[in-house]
Amino acid sequence: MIAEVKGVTARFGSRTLFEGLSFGLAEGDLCSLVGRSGSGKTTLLLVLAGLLQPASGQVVRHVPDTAVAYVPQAPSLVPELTAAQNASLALRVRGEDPAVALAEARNALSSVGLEDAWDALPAQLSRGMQQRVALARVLAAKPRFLLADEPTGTLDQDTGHHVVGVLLATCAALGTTLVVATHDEDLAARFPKRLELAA
Amino acid sequence: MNVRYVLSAVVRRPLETLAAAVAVAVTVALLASLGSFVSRTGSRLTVAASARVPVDWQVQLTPSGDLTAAQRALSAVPGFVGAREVDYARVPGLVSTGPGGTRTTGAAYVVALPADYASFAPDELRSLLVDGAGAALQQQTAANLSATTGSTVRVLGSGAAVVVHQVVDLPKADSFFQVVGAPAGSGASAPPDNVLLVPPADLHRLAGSAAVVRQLHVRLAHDQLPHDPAQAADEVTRRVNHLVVSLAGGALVGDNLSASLSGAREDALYSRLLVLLLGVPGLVLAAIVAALVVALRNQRQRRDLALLRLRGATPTRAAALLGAVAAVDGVLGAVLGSAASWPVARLALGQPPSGAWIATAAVAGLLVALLVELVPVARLLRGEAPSVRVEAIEQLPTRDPLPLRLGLDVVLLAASGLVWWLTSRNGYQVVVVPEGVPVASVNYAALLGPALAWPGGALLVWRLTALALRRHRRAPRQDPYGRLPDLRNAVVRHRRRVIARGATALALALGVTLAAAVFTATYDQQARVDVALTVGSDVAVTVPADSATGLDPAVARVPGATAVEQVSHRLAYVGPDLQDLYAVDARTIGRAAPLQDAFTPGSSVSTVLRKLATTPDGALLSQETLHDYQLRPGDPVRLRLRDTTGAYRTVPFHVVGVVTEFATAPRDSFVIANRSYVAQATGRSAVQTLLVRTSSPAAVAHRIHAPADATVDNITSAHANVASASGLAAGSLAGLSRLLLGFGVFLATVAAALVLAVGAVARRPSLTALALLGAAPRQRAGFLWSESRALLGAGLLGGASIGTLLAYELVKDLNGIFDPPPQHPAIPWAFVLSAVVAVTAAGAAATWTLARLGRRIDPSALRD
Repeated sequence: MIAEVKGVTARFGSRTLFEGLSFGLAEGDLCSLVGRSGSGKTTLLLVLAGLLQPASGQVVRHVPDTAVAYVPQAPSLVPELTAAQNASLALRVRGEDPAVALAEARNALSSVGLEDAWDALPAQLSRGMQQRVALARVLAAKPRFLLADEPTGTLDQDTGHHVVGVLLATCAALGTTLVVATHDEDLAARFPKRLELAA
Repeated sequence: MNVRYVLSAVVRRPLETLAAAVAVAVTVALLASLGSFVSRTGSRLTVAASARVPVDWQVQLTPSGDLTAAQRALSAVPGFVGAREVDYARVPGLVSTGPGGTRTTGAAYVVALPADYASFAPDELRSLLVDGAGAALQQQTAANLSATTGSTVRVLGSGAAVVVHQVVDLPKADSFFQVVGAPAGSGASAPPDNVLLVPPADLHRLAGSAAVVRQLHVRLAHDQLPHDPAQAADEVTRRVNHLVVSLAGGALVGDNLSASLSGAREDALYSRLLVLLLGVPGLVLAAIVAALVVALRNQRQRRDLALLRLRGATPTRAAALLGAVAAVDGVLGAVLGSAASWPVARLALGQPPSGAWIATAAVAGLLVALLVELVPVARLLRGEAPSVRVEAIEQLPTRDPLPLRLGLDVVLLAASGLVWWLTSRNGYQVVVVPEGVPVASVNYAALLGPALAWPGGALLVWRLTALALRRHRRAPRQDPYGRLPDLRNAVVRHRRRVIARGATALALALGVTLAAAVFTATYDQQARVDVALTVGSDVAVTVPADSATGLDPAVARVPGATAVEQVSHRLAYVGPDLQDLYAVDARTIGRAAPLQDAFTPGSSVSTVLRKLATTPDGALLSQETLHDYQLRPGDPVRLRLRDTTGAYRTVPFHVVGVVTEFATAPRDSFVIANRSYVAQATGRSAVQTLLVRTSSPAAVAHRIHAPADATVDNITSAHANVASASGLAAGSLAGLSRLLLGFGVFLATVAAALVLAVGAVARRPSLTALALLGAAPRQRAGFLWSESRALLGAGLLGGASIGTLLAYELVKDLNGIFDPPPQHPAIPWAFVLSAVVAVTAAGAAATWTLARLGRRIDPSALRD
């Protein structure tokens, strides 16, 4: 087991998003998280990542914080760094040798189809490409627990499917537990497991 | 919707609103205070110039003039306060017989003064020795005659005698004995050497058949004069003209008041130039800082505007809503600024601000808020509704601003240098106020030097900062602690234009402050030299010139005195002119006397004194004497000095140089010679002046127990300061400098903190993303500190450079304001260091606070 959710309740102002939620995630689980807008998908991901405290209940993670990665809805790249530098950030902050981190970052960028964009600044990339850099950034760090919030929301359908394919393959190869929030039922169908939040 | 939107924008973001209002308030307060400074300085100078005049007019009756008619006409003059009759009789000489024999002077004046004249014109007379009411001898005349109170003086011509009851000084002898009706530009005539003041009843007995010139000395009310010195001078001149016409040739008027007011015109012009060269850049800077703060709303406004347009608001309606928010910011700022200008003006200028300037500043503050908040979103009001997301993203500039692309920094600095060279190469005065002419000339072209140097220097700081930050740093081979130096460098490199913009604002703020500080310190330094020149040194002990009983230098060797120099103050005839001669020890006089290269034109003062020391019979003469007597260095010159018998003896000298000013010396002609030579040539070695160098003048002056007839003066005494202070020194420049230094340091610290804060806020999403990737707080803070170091380093260096350049140009350009001219600008190191520390501390505190705030991870910053 990599994370256990025990009776978690989350509220946004006076509105209850979800209440008494309980489930477990095993190592290597590949889950989609679906639900209507405002159902609390992002909130649940933040609670799972430890970035938000639930109103009640508890989340027990059996991995260190450094092994957890969260990909936000917005790409949030450092605008002054190239795609490769952005992708190497997660490794660099851990003290990895710069050359090694850069090589890993380039591999990760290649895996999401950005082998020609290593030296591009975020402003020179489309929104979809930026989102792929953000994914490469976490993939390069080889996390054990990866949470992604609408990673394909700004990608065209083909690219979205390609990126999700890369995500699934990489996580499966690494044994990473993956939870992806999405609106896209076709994409959700590609995941072996499904979490659904009722509105 | 209108009121709700404005209320929510103002009330729900109180910090934003408060910051914008305070920023506008600073501009309003500075503008109101500066404007008040300009308007009040004129008034202050008029009051000071009027107060310096012992009597306002000297109305001299012509032979056909009628005293009663003149008095009647005077009483009708607006502001007339009173008049006293003063009669002058020129006699062949005065004679006094005492224990040392009989002494006779050259031509002398017998002047009849009414009994209450000393209270009517207190500045005209200074009593030195008093033994009841009656005749008084001028100090120098008493010395010439070896007379004192109780002595009997006989007047040559009439042969009548009078007993001396007082010895007095005539501090304003130049104007007291002026030639009334002399053509303009003819120059002042030297006052007589020998003067006997008598009661009116004794005049005819003493003067005998000598011609008597009758004057009415007049005082006017000064509080009714216009505030501006030039206007006041014109007004007084018109009253004089009216009086002259009404007396139909019966009198001539010596208009001391107009002359003094005309002199103050120069100070008034200089004060305006100071505001132009120091105050206006400060004001522009305040507006820039206000713009930076108010612009904090811009990003939110872009989003609001996009939302408003998406909801169907027309561009006009959207503009009205945003304009209403800006107006609220502006009105709040104007109210706060107007209120703040009261204590600020009171503290800095000692007076409340003027109502007209408060109103002007309030309107300007409102306009700043409207312009800064509306102009950046104006383009979004045109065309299609903008995208909310795109407009919310900070757009880093991708190329240098247009002025830099055009090379305007180089052009402006080159033009500034050229103008400065052209105007200063032959020596010039920025302000020329000819005596007796009601016009003043200002060489505004010369001001282009510093005026162009401001923007040129600022743009150069921008260019050089951006250039220096372009440096690429290679990644280290290893980085086990995750310091990320290459990545931090990459961020700074890409943000170099933003950092350069911030560094330029900081450099400007610091430059304005430092230039003002250096200028003020230089002015203070020269004012101290001026006072020291008037007094002679930090402390001076003096007895009248040519006194036979000199001073013992031992009286001045008291605890606290670091050097004592002896000066024989003698009177010497140069041709027919009686001049002061100062016999000094040329090698050592600099230990106690204030010396500056400006005193010896064409050579350094040390070189000239060395030359004097090696030429025993050497003499330094004034430029005027050299010119009048066709003398040049190396020429022999024969002076007449008193010997031990009191008789004048011819003493040969050689001219070794020219001198313009010397401790205790008058402003016109005088002579400097070697003390040993003068003592040997005349047989008199008595010392009349002791110059004392000390760091505690008042205490040392108090410790000196001088003989009864000696005067002990020091540079801290009010008398010394009043005697030498110009109109500007009397508080005006101090007020302006307090205003500029206070606002300058405040703006510099705010600019530093603000630019860093704006940068950190703009980068919040990136820093949050870094946190999500596992970056420790210290790693995230590292990015902020890198930017902070770059900005503060460039800003401080740029500010120091701009301040130095500007201070140098200002001191050179406004040389006429200094008396005497400075050898070099004075740098107030303590203030400079304090300003640098304050700015650095503000920047460091802002960075530290932002880093602390950044420790909390807020994922909502990453949501679309």
